[in-house]
Amino acid sequence: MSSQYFKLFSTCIPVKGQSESLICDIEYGQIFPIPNLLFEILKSNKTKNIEQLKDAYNGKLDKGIDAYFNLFAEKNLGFYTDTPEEFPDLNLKWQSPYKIRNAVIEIENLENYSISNTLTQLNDLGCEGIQIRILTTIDLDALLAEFECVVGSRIKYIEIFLPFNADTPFEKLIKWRNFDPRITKIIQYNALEEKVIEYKENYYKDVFFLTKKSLSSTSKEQYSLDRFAFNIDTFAEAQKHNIGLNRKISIDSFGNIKNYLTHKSTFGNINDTLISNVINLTEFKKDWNTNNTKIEKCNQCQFRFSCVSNVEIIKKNRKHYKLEECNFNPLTNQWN
Amino acid sequence: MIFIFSQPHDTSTNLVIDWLYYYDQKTIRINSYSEFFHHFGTVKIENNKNNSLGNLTKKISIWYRRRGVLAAPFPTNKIDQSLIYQFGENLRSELKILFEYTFEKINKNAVAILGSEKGSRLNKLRVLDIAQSIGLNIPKTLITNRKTAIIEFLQSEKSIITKAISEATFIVDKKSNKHAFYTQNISKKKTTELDDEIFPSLLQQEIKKEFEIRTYYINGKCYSMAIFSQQSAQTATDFRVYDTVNRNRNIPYQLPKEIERQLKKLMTRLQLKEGSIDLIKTKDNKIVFLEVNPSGQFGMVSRPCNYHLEEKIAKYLSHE
Amino acid sequence: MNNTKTINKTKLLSKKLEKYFPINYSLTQSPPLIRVRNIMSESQFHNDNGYLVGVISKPISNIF
Repeated sequence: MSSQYFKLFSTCIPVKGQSESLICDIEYGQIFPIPNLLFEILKSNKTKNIEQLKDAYNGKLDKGIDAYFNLFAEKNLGFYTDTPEEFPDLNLKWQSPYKIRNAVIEIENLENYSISNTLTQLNDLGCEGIQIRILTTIDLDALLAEFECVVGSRIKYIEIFLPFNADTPFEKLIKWRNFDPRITKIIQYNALEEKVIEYKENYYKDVFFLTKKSLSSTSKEQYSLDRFAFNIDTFAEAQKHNIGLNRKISIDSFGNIKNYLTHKSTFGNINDTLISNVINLTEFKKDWNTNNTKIEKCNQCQFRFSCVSNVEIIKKNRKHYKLEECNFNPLTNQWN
Repeated sequence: MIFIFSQPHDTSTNLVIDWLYYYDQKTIRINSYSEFFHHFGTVKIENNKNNSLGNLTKKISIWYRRRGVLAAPFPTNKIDQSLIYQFGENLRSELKILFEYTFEKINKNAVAILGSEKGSRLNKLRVLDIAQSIGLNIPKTLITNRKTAIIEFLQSEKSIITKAISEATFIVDKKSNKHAFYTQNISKKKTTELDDEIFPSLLQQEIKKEFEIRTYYINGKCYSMAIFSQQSAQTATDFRVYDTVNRNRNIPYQLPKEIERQLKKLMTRLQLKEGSIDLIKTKDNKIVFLEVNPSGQFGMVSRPCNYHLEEKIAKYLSHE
Repeated sequence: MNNTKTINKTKLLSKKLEKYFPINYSLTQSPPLIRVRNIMSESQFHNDNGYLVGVISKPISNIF
């Protein structure tokens, strides 16, 4: 038995944090917190069989090693093998054919800039996901007409935030959902309650949500375990890129082009600037590759390959920092 | 110019086209009969002419991904119901000749072809025979119509399965229930229930597997994935019967170089540039070859193993 | 997340495993094997024919 090797499945990847480590199961989107000592053990088990591993710790961790490996096997996170060389690591090279991957579009009225033109440009660039933030009560039917180009497009996902308005008949929202299946989520903020509206006819999941929360251009990023993305695409992208800002574009309610709405810099206005030109600007892309490993505090965090944050990055004394800190402390492993 | 013959909603086609678009490759996707004739509708055959097809340029690539093209929508409302079948047969045979000629001309212009206009069916028996002649391990296989032969086979092999000689497919009954022809175990009890003479059936020794291997082969290269599926009894015989509780593990796998060489030889003999190959790693550390599926589902290997096969296919079609 | 049951069960498990490690390496208070919200299944959509057309793999922004 002990001349065998223990291997985690190559989609279950240990990530070290300052005070606690994590096994990220990026095949099935689950995580398994482990002590840092175990992280070290798992790192060296690539070259050592179980017997050699135990020897390396002078037999002091025999029971712990056995208990953990058995648990991992039982939880379907790993397996025992005589031929570890047959199972190469997952190649974490990331690549994408989409020149823009996601976009945030803020809308105050239909006059400030052309929404349909913006959507058409995004589609041409391969944009997968779009977040529409409507700030005011506007004519929903007139807005819908701007979305004609979405039907049959390459766009994969659209979520819409709009202010709750008791006078808006629900039928108007249903019309949006029926317009195209790409419209996957319709969230009304400033509502009187937190609620998922049961309306599943022909659909595969919930689409309509109410929330008491409010929304503005300065709405801050939230951090919690259930917001992290544990999957192969995101984990691979996070190795070398900032998973919030990489290939993202935002348009504020005046048509200003930004990396993200809360950022200071603007890169022209959508009324006279093509998105395809903006994304060639070095300055616009400057933080696309600033991944969490390069950012102070984040580089100590076990969630650094799954935490999607759009916060502005600042540089001080050749070090990168986030403009706003999150509510997790990797030193104490505590959420505030 | 790249032509892709596919069908609507094929996600893998979408992803490959995304890459072709990224690399600025002019691509035409043909999903249907009418789209086909939109591009290749007029064929002229004249004296003293090099009768090539319309406006085809010299440098084209073709990917025969799916055969949706050939499913012609026949008019059914204008004809006597009793004639529909014969009428359909007649139209089909007309189209067969036209397609044959047109595809021959298209292929002649191509510098790169993936898949085949003839579709994805191989003679599995022939493939097994070639595989063993190359030196690959294959499961002991018997095709017979005799009960006695099956009983003997079960006695000598201890555990046997039956599977399709052609393709694992399904039939739909009047109530729209699907009945699938999955790979199945044949018990001793089952053999005794058989008639003395049955419809010819394929039987194979059951291989006790450590895990399954799915290899996507393209242009001489193997991209392999191990599928750990024996965690529960339900998925033991065929992983297509999905198990939601104990989920399969799909991870990158490196085949021994010798096996990769043999697979390359096999694909060359079968004149296939791409295909999905099923193998098994046995409990006693052998690798057993099962079958080749031309135009297989490479997405299910590409995604979990992060192989980016869609990009590799796009590159091949752009002949880079 | 509403998996208190799992948490209690796995806490016990953690305690059990903890004793095999040197005392200064305390195991986490959080439960082993946490199933996280799956943005991919949340974002996937099907067209009218039931075909899965696309998924996105991460949230666009985490404002709510």
